[in-house]
Amino acid sequence: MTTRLLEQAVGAEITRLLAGRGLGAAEVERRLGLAGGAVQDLAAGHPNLELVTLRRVLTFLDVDPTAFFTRLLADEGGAEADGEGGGDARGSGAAGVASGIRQRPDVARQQVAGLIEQVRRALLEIDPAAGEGDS
Amino acid sequence: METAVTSPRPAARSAPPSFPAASRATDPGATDPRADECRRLLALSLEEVFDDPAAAVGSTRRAVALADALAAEDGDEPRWIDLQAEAVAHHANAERVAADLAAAQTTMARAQQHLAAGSGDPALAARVLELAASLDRETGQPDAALRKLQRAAALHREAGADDAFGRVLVQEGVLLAYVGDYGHSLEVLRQAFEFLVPKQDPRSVLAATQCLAFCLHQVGYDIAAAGLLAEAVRVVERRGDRIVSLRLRWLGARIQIALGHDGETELRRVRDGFLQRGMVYDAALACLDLADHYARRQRLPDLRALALEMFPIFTSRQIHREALAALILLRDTLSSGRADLGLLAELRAFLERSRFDKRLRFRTA
Repeated sequence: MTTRLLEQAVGAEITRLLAGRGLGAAEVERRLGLAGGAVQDLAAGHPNLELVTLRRVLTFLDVDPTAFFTRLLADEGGAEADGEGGGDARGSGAAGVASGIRQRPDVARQQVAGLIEQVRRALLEIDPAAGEGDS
Repeated sequence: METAVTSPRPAARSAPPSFPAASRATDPGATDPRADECRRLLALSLEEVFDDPAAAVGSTRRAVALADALAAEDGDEPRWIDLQAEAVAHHANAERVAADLAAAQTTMARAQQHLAAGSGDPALAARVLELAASLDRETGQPDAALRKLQRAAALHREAGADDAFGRVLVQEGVLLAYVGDYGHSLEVLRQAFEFLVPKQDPRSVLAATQCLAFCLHQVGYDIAAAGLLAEAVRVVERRGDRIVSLRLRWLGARIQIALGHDGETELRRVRDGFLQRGMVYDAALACLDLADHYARRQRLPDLRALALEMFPIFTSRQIHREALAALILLRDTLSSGRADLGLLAELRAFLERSRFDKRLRFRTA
């Protein structure tokens, strides 16, 4: 779930960077000698994000990978490191994820019981005497 | 949403992320004894924040000084900048737990600057995000906290650090419970237990247990919550985690009261325990739990006596002066023979919020 968030955020940012430079995914793939669809997948937030590909693309786009990730992680708005404005895609993506999570249904009674058993086992692992007593 | 701000909240201020203070990607300690000492202090601070936040502030301050000295000698060396980021972020965390939120925010901003200038180590970035999320939560920014935790989780997962991933999921579950999203909190906690290694990270297990008990209480599974808490308290007391024990017992007392049992004596003990440790805000909130208990049972003489007991607590410098004014208002309503549950709820909500916002003014509905 959370890995998907990163992939989607990266995808939105790559899409924005490509659009800002008037470049298509296929053109970047060709100029970097990447397999067809590699950059397209990246921009689409495809699962199993290829970090090596991402770094190559960022370098090609003259974006410092460290700054890119820091910006993505620090959740800060404002000007981009490469001088462009924006950040809307990133912001709305994160907000959408948060609201999506809240819309998920409550856990069923059976799941609650299962979770309690999980926790009890974990407490027993920490301290085998935890289960003894009056409860 | 009153329940979302009602203490004892899950894994409250004394339960920061309990990760090891050693970096995965860089190893400054291998080359300089000052870096070793810095890391020792950071590890020490992670234990101190649970029982002695002021000591943790001191330890992290010394760690920051060491990291700053290393960076000053060789400012272009990313590993020293990373060490600065780590030390400064821990210092911010200690300040947060010690209730100096304004200082913590300033310090955390500095940590983010170091992080941006460092090596780009994703494990370090994830840890700083975890600490920053805790600060966001306590400064009333749960959405920002949630986003940071989700990014930290993604980084840990990417790196295959399952234990860290589970730990972040626990924090996410705590945050969701904090904002009143109990169903989703339980789901996230369930996922967390697939990754946690209890013997390696007992604090995360205990934080998850407190959170689970809190959620169960909020959705009406009080008997299950009480049983779980009893087991957790035994573990915590054998470990000697006194403040965690107080918080678990606080929640346990509230649940006992909800079940119609006698939780009053325990609530008083918990309040006294907080006072002994100088945790005045928590003591004041425990007093308000007692007041609510008396008011619901129309025990006006007990309520009046309690209001008098509360005055010395509310005159503490740590408590917002407006809360004292509200307490006087409460006393006045009691003297007129009324137990105003609405006023009590407003006072509790105000006390919770004013902890983080000193400009707040008390207003009755």
